Amino acid sequence: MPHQPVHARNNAGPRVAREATKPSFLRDVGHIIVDVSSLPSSLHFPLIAAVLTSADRRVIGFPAEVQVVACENPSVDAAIIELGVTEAAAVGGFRGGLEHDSEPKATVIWAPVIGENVGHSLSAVHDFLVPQDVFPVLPFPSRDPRRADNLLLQHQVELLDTFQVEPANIIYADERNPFDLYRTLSRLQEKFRLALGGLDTTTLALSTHSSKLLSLGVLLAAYEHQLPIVSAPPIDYELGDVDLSLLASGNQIVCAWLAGLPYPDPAIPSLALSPDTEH
Amino acid sequence: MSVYLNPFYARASEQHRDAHRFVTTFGPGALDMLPGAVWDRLVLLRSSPGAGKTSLMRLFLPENLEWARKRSPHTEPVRQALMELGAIDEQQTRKLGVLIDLDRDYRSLLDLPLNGDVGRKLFFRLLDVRILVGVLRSTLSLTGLSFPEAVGDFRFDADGDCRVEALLERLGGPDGAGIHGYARSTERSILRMLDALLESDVAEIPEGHSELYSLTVLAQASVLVGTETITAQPMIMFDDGHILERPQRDALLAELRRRRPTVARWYSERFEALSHQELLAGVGIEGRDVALVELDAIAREGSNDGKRFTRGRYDRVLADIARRRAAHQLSTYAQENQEFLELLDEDRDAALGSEAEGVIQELETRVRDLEATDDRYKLWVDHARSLTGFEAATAWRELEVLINRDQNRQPGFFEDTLSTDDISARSSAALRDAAALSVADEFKIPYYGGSSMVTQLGSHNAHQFLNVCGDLFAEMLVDVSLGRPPHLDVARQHRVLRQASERFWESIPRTVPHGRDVQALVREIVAISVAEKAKPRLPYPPGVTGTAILMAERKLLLDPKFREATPGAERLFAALASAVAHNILNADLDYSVKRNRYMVLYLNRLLCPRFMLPLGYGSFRERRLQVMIGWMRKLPALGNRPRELVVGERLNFEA
Repeated sequence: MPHQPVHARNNAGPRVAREATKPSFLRDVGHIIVDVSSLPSSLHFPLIAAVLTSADRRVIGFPAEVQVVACENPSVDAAIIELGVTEAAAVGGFRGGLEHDSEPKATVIWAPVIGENVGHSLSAVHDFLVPQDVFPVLPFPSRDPRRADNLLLQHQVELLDTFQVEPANIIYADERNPFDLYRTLSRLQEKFRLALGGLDTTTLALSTHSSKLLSLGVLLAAYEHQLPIVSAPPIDYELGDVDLSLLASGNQIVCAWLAGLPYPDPAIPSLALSPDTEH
Repeated sequence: MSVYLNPFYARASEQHRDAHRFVTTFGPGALDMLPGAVWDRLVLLRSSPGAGKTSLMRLFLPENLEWARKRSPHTEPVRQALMELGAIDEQQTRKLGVLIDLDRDYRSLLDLPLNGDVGRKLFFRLLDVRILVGVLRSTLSLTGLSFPEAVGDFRFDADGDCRVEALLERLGGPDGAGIHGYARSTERSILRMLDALLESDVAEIPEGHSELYSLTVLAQASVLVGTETITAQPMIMFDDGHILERPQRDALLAELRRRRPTVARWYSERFEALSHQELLAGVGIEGRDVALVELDAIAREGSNDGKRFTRGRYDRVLADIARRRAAHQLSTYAQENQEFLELLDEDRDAALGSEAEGVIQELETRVRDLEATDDRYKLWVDHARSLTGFEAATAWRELEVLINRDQNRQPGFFEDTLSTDDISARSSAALRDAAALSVADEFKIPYYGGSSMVTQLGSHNAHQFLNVCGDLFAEMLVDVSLGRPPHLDVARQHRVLRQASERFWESIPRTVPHGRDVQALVREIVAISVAEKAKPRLPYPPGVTGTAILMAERKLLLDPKFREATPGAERLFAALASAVAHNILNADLDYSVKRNRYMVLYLNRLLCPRFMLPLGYGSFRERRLQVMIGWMRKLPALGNRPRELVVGERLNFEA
């Protein structure tokens, strides 16, 4: 797939997504695996959303089985320094009605997923969204049981002083299970819809400043409920003063099966196991 | 969790949602930065980020103007300033403000598969619908009705003008419901196109507009709500124009400069020292067609006429903003009626503490060693000996410099004893500042503190100033929570301000494009400053805090061919442009020195405490372009940074 320069960063993802889901690109493929380990969210979010949309619409010739894999290591993530925050913008494909001036101004509730050293991008997204309320998501349970506390301390000026987050607003989600965050955000969205639906238009806007797994949870919630996702990605990255070879033992490969049949369905005879089938 | 809120940390966005908070904390002096004629021509606002151009524009939105007009006496200074400007009067709001944020999808349109002309027309169509929706919202807000429920009450009246009637029909008008429907379908179709993730979802591209129809309509047609004609002048404000690509910006400015005196047109963009931005030839004749308002320059030097906004006034504007922001919390949390800046102590004798005698003794000894048995300086020495505390230490250091200078002069025939009046003639406030800093630096005495220094640390940038005040207020909250009066001595202020300076320095790579190169550039300028500071005669008081290149060499650097042919030039260009665009360096163009013209680059004042540099402006040392390029060439190649540079040096606050 040739790379084409773009004028606006958030257009790169949709462009890649459109190319990747063309019938000519995925001819005779029954199973698609998207490895997001080294892809920024501005690219892999639109790509995965496009793949899921094609699978959900049962586009003829498109693979029915969709998996996402990621190599995850929170210690390495914490050592990565993001350089140069860009202007915040909606992730391509995930505007979710955010920038429709002709619609009534919605009350925006913002749920950022917090990671290490993300104060500046949090501020950029906050300035873009101007949210009425903020529900930060912290990783717990997590490999380091104090990680959530440390993140709160690291970002206390932004979260508590600048954004004035109420303590009761803090949400916790399993660091290693994206479906936990997906369910939590889905419940939050439903709660606002029921509580505020009659009063005013409310939009739950998401942003992810954390690991790939938690990002996947954000993506799934946004995809299902058509929620906007905003990002202020860095221009470059740098590795802090760590020894990668020592941290490598913490690498964990995770696979999420998003569409298709991970297990044979007994109701479908062609897929029923025969006694001789090995697994 | 915080019980006490810090009013300085509240985001500008929070302020913008609350008209009361926004208007009551707005510094009315800022309105005097505007020229006299702003309603009948294009007003072009330029500044660095955080200087306040968006806040200035927001003030003219109907909800804020109405609040200012109706809520006197709480809003009296702002109300008065707005009345003088003609934005409101006793009876009504006179301007119908609409704010169009150009930091939106407009640039994305260039990534659609369109040729140049189709792209421009789609750009105008999207702008048109957003301007019209903005007019709908503002008008309904002004008349106390809600959007979009009351759009049916809105109507344009073309007064029989056939061309305007045709344009209105094209835009879904003349009634508000039709215009709103047209705007909705336009936004949906364009944004759906931009957001499409599957090829099959990319719809047909809608037809565009060859010009901004909305401005022609607003210039010619009347606006009615029900049977009431709205007499407020439409005021369309475009914010963050620097985000647009050059062809879009030029197309928009060409539209805005067309003479439509009945529509006020404001446009803001970030100041860019390394672009051809200053060329107004394509925009119009300054004064007649366009009013250029460079907020940073006015903040530093005052307005061109020298009357409307005098030099030094910006410091008072900032002090006023600080007072307004903190007044409620100080009164509520600490029953404190003093203004925020007055709570910052300036007693440097206390900062010197028990070290005073030793410090003064050492400085006196050095002066004695210099002048040996020379009676020429006897009166000067006696004067210094008569002083006490930090003033004495500063006087001895000042004396040391003056004697060094004197001893390097041409010796005369008669070596008279110098009088105390001679000190006044040979010294200056700048030299005394330099001496004070030198003493503080050498003996590790707290130095940065007091209202004047805190204002200087804002670097003529309201946003930065508020952040610095926020850090000091957070320190005051420690006292408040312990039931003590929120007064900060110099030692505590010095610690807080140095920490703020360190955080600012450390944030550069994280927040600024080419941040590591920008840091390298700053280090080179600091090296110049430190070298000058070390000279015994302190030749450039209060100290050097900047550098400069010839305007002719700046022009070379702007040339892409030169940069391509000169290794290191592209990297210097990128670092300089980024540093100025993000307020790390403040640039002054066309500064005249000895028949040469320079682009002067001063360090952001908030960097100065980290490197123990003075806060006053005035002194810089120019460097040739090739020297600056050499700075970049000695850096490691991009991506090959040695680990020790990655970690970087940090200030030790325990020392």
